[in-house]
Amino acid sequence: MHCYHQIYLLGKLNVEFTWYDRTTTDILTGVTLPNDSRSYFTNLGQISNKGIEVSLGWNDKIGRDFTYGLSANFSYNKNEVKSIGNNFNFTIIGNGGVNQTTTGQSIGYFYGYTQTGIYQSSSDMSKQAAFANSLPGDIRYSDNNGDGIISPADRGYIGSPFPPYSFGGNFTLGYKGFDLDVDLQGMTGHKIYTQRRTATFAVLNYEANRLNAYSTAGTSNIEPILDNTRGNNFLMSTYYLEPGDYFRIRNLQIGYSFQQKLLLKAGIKKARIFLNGQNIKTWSKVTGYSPEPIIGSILGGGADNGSYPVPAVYSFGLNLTF
Amino acid sequence: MKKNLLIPTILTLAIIVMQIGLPGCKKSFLDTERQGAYDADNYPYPGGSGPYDQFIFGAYNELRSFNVHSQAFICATSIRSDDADKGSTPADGGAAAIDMDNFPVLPSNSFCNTLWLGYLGLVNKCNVTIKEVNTNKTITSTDQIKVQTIGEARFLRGYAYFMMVRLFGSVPIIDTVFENPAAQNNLPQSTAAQVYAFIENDLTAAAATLPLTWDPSKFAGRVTSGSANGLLAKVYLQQKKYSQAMAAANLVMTSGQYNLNTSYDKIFREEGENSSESVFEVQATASASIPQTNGVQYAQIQGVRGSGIFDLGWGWNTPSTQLEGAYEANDPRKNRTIMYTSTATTTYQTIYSENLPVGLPNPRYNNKVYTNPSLRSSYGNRFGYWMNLRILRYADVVLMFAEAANEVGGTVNITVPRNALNSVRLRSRAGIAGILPDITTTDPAVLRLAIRQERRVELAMEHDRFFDIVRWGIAQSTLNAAGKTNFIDSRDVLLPIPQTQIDLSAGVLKQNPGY
Repeated sequence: MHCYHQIYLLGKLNVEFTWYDRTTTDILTGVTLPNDSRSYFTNLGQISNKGIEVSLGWNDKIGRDFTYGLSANFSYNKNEVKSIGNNFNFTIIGNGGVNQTTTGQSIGYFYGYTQTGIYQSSSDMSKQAAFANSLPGDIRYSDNNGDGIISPADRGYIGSPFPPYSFGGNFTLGYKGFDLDVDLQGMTGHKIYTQRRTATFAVLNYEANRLNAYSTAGTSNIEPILDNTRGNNFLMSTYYLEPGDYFRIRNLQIGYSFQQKLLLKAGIKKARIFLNGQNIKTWSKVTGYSPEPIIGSILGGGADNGSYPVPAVYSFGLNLTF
Repeated sequence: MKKNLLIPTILTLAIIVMQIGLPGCKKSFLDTERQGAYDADNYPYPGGSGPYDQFIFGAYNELRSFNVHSQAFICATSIRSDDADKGSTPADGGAAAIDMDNFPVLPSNSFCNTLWLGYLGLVNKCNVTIKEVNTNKTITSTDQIKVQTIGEARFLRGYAYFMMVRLFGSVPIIDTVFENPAAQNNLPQSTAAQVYAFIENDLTAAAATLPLTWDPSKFAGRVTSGSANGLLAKVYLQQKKYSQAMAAANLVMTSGQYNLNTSYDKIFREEGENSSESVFEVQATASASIPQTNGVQYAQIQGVRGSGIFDLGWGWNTPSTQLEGAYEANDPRKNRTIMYTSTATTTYQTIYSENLPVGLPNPRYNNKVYTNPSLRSSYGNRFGYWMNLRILRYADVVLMFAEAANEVGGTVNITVPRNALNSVRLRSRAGIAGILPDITTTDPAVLRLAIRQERRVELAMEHDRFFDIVRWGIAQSTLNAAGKTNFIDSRDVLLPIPQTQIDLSAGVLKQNPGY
């Protein structure tokens, strides 16, 4: 189902509203089979995507020389797996089990433990649910099923690699020969799995977050001890998830068009110089190189295993028309 | 801007014209043959050696895969034992590798999933071969070739399941190629006893149908009835079926194909590959242009972790001080097994008389995977991917025979196992007087310990020690004494079923006890 409205007002205000409810069936995708290292291509059940997209725009003039335009857009998407086909008698996982796909949830959600702190000492640990081999300095996980111990049964949904909300804006200004154009963009609500931090082959060159690692009781309730022999701290959990929210100046351009009178003498019809910057500023708490959702595989997405950074590009140009 | 739109339009037209022209061709341009490698459709039979080569060679090739005989295999079979340490730098490999040395191994340990998928991948290739032989009507073949090919596949499948059952205990038995894997792949576990029965079935069938030998100039290392009987002896021994183990080992010893004439030193050199000692060996080859792809990443993982010409690998799986202390005085096998890093006061040499450097991260390395420096330079590669992996040696069969005979025979027949044991010791002496004297005991309990001791030093670093101490029931006492104090029999004799597989199975697979 799809519904679309557009309103114009005096040629200045532009409002668009879209509401959609789309069900996709039989997505062709590669799944991880039990007892098999090969990816098996098959059709995967029904996925529903529901959402709204709203955009507002205003363009106007002040006097003869000054023009401006403002626009903003916002969208919300809810993804839900309705069914995963009746010939599956196993769980759909991605990225070695870090992601799962089950009915009633967003596709390829993160599956793991929820961190509640760090075991500060033996006496602290004895009062809490723990693994049989937990030690002070290890991550304390939530005992979701309340059985008094931490076990694989305590894992569950801990976030989605897909952003439900995205938004953007555009701002233009023109004054005589000058023009300015700014594009803004952002997303929020998704998580990024910092898989690169689970690498254990070296005990050098940690990321900056490890400067605050637990050393003795009271030193940290977030960062576990610096010890790569503690396997429990490398399990998939909220410790390795970070909010993917970001807001970015996607594009900024300033230009100046020279007056025609002056140019005609030189045989030039038009001349414009401009300065352009792409991705010049990003606001985000993401610690990797890029906060954008990293979806290589729809069933196992969202892992930052050393993603390539988005480059900031600056350009300067001169347009001449003869 | 408008002008530019014309270009895509012209391109689109050109593509349409091309597509109209295509039906004239015999083959679509998307349907070209792969260059530079064969696949199952164009494997060059009858130019090759047999009509099912593309399938059975595919199964053999799995023996060289990283998931089957490489890092995870070395960790699970050797580093878990008291004879080897993880090696390398203390932190290398992280929790997954360190836990293999110190226990417990967590269900999330990546090596467990690697092994699970590796051996079941090998099983799948065997099942594909069996299916093709039984059902492929386009391949014409004699019945004898069909039976023999199935024999090879069943040997390899039996080997894969023997690894699986010793590593994980109860595992799913997959003996067919599924039409609908999504619906059929998720199988429950069979009990270890059922898995052993399945293995015995496969290996018995293989022993009955495989040839005694293959033309060594063409098919070095292809499995034989001797390979099947030798492996069967180990399968029986693992289950304490001593008379059957003795009989199976005896079939290998009376086959006339194997002997103890190859020197202990030569067995582990490249020139000793597929010698009269070799009962089952993973074949690896190399050339200057393809130094790694047709090999196995085995020697490299254990290679000397040095620099320059001594950057031979990662330096994993180093002989332990317990192993060092296990040898009798002046046993030449000790220095053939343990390579020593030079110290400030002593310079040690390799078997090729090169001086070993000082200051390497580890005091000892596995000398049985030390590669010939002249081959290294001719291949232009230091990492030994060409080094065959000796899975089953004749001395192993003889010692299995000795062990089984001693358990069967009691006091009356003690000379039979004792002679077998002493035949291995005779070779080990390498003609040196006064070392490794013959065992003369008449007490089966004393002989049992002597055979176990001989097995340990003869087969050191050859991936049996952990399984041996488990079947002897001495794993916990031995490993605790070796400093692996976390080890408990009730949990650690088996690896955990990989959590990834349990998750995938939606609860069909059950975790091993204690985890």
